[in-house]
Amino acid sequence: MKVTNLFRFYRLGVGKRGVVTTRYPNGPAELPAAAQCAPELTGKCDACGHCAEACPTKAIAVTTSKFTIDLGDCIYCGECARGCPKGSIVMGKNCELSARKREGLEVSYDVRQ
Amino acid sequence: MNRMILSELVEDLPPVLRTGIRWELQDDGSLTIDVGEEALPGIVDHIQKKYHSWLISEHALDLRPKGGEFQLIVLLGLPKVTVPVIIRANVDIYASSFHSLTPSVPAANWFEREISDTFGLTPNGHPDQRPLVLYDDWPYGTYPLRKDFDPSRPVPRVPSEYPFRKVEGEGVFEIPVGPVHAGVIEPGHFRFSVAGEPIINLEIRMGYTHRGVEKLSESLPYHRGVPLAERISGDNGFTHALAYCQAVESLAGCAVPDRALFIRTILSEMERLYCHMGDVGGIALDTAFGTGAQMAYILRERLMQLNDQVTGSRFLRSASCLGGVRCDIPVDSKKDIQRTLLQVKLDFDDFVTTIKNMPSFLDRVETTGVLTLENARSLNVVGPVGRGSGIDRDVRRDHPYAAYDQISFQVPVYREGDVWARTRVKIDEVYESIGIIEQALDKLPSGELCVPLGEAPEGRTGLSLTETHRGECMHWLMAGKGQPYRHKVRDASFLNWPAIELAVLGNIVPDFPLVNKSFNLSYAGNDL
Repeated sequence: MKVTNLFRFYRLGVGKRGVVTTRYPNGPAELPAAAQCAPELTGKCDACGHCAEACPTKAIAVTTSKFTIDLGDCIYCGECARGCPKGSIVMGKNCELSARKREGLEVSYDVRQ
Repeated sequence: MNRMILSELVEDLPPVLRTGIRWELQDDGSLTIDVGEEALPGIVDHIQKKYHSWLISEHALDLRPKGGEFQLIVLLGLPKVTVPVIIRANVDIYASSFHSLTPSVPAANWFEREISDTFGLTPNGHPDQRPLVLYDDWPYGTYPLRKDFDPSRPVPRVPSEYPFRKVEGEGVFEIPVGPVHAGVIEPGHFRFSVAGEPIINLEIRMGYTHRGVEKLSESLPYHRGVPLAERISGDNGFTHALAYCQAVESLAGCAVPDRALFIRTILSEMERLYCHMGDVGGIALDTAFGTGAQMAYILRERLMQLNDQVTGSRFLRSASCLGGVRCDIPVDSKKDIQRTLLQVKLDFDDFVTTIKNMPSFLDRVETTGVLTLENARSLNVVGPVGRGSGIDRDVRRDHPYAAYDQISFQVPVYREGDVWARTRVKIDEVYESIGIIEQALDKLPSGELCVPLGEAPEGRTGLSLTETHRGECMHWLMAGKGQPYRHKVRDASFLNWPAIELAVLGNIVPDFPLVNKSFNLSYAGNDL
């Protein structure tokens, strides 16, 4: 093949794969709409404990004042969100969940009745 | 058809074997035979010789709390029959031993060593009575799957050493590899005996990731078993969970809605696609063909992102539930899948052309790690490994589940049995999988996603087979009070690991990673 032909192929974009990487971490992480990150308590809670019962790894502890989830044990299955009768737990969209210490993985929310 | 062959099978048993057996054809067409424990090897051998059956599983049950004895269950698959033959035999509590099948059915080897470890039943006549699944320092006389074993108490550890097979002679060296490997892979110990470069013996030691999945499952209500099954083996979580769900559904007699069946088919194939991409990419990588490997890994990543878009999980976690599926495939997801698959197909064509025209690649993969048809048959090797050695079997076609009976596809079979044959099976399966997903999307019916499970009557048994990307996966359940009384899991890896010991013989040590990758077996799925 002559060199000029080869260049013509390149100009046509044959063999070009486009961009396969994303801007992250220089830009925001692009998560699909269905992504299930850490469970978050967003609404009212009457500490009924259905979420703690539904959790297969016992990562959730609920008292009358605090809702605590241990992200070190969480398997992000979404059972707590489905188990909440008030629909107050949602699977969040924050994928940056690392912590410097083990205790940092325990996330607490104040219970609002 | 099933009934005809199976009733003929029983009536054809020679009079010596027929005495003292009871048999029954179940509603679903499967055949249950109750035999005396001493007659078991004879009957299995007879069925194997006459009907070319294969061993799906051999496992034990502890029926002592129900006033019974130990029971052995042997499941045999038969050609042209969609249901298995179930043979049951009671084992005396005091004798605690049974007649081994292994001398006539080599595939029973690991099954019987597992029974010996976990139930303390000795297989008499088994040529290899060393432990298999438990840790080396597990105390003698503690059998975890017996019902009187208390899993909440820690077990005292007794240091001991595993007796490896010794190969001795002038110039024979032993190369121990593992259990901790370079790279982030699972633990397994490989002990090579070499004379110069060629391998003259390989012994594989597994069990380093034994987590007690079966025992754990016996204490979990059925719906909790689904996330457990998803985590048996990382990359075929969906198919394992599907097998578990199907087994529980068959216990409860639950009819899964049509739409869920089609979505299960689509997700199973999406899982196979991304796994096969990783597999063929890995083969290219192990031949040091980095460019080719990256082409496949880009596709794998694209497919995993597609999984994420459709189900919210790159590994298809929490997509399955009892009685149906959790995640729907709405119209825009459908379009996403179709668009991505079209691109993937074109790019995969490029990859295939590239590796097929690469002499240095073909030089490494052709005639490497040959597993002969005879060896594959006797060890009952399943999945792409079996199909690369000429065994024409695929659960999706032979025992259709989900919506596979409404979809047309080919089962690629090659008979060379080398690394290249196994790779080609996987390459062909990628195209078939894309075809299956496209057909299932076109036919996707509307309707419910999930129905309530209903009651699972105590004592009933359920069996389910699915085809993971590694091959046939089995979940067998016996119902207890709201949770399984016994849950037996058998991943394809459990049958295929012993075959590596045969496939590497005569190959040079540097080809072992390649052979191992072409089998691509799961450690966690094997160890349970």
